[in-house]
Amino acid sequence: MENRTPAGTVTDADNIFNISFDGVGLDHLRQLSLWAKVTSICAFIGYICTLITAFFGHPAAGQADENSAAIGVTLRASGVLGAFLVVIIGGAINYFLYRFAVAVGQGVQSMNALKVNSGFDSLRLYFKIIGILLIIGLSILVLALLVALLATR
Amino acid sequence: MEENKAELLGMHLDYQGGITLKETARWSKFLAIVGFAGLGVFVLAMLAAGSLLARYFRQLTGIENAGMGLALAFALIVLAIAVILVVLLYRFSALTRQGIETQDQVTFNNGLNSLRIYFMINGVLGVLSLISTIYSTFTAL
Repeated sequence: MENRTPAGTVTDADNIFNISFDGVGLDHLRQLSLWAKVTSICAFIGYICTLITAFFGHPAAGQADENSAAIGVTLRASGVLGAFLVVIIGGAINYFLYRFAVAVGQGVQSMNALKVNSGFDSLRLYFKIIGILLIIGLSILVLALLVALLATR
Repeated sequence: MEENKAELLGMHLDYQGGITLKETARWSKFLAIVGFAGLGVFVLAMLAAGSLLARYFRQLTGIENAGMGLALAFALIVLAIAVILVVLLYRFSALTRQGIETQDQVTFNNGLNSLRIYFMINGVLGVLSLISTIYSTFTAL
């Protein structure tokens, strides 16, 4: 009895139910899906190019002049490792963007709200992963600044 | 015909979908706020150490005053695009959330529109960056 909401009060669940993807919203979703797909596919092709460059690219001018072969190998290895890191992290992020694009595109085409919801869930994960990586990156930056500050004292 | 009718009626956002969208908006707001802070720090760093950076850039590239103007213009364009992207992301998060909470369809659609423009700019930048990556790959091989 005490839990009943007063007459005229709109609950959170009611609010959500009254919002819909109307004609304008669906048009936005269609374009959103298209451009998100373009972005993710471009990123995937870019990662392939990055790997090709890391594995088969000629060493830079500075590296080619190195007398020591060991330094050259180390530089090449660190380049490949860096490229792998970029591809793995970027690939994971863009995978969720691609999933968002595909699910929303299919959902709009078949008027399936569940598909659109699952698409937005992928977008949530996309933003979440970027956010967490940003937090980790900023923490490392702050830590590095602190260490540098302590080292100069 | 059936599809057109369904499109006119629209697709209702159910409770779970609304929760997901709110969560998405929360994370995008976080990213937008960090983006604003990052841009602020960048502008402050440019103002504080602008002459030092310019001297370093000149030593590194050998480009003199005219080139420096071009480099500055390029930096400003990049900054402007970054500001637009961050504002769009913030608008998406704020308007979508507000639209769901106040049952305002127009505000909700404006939020989606901001996300659409955000991804459109990202897509164009992605294509440009891909062209540049392919070019550098061919030159490196």
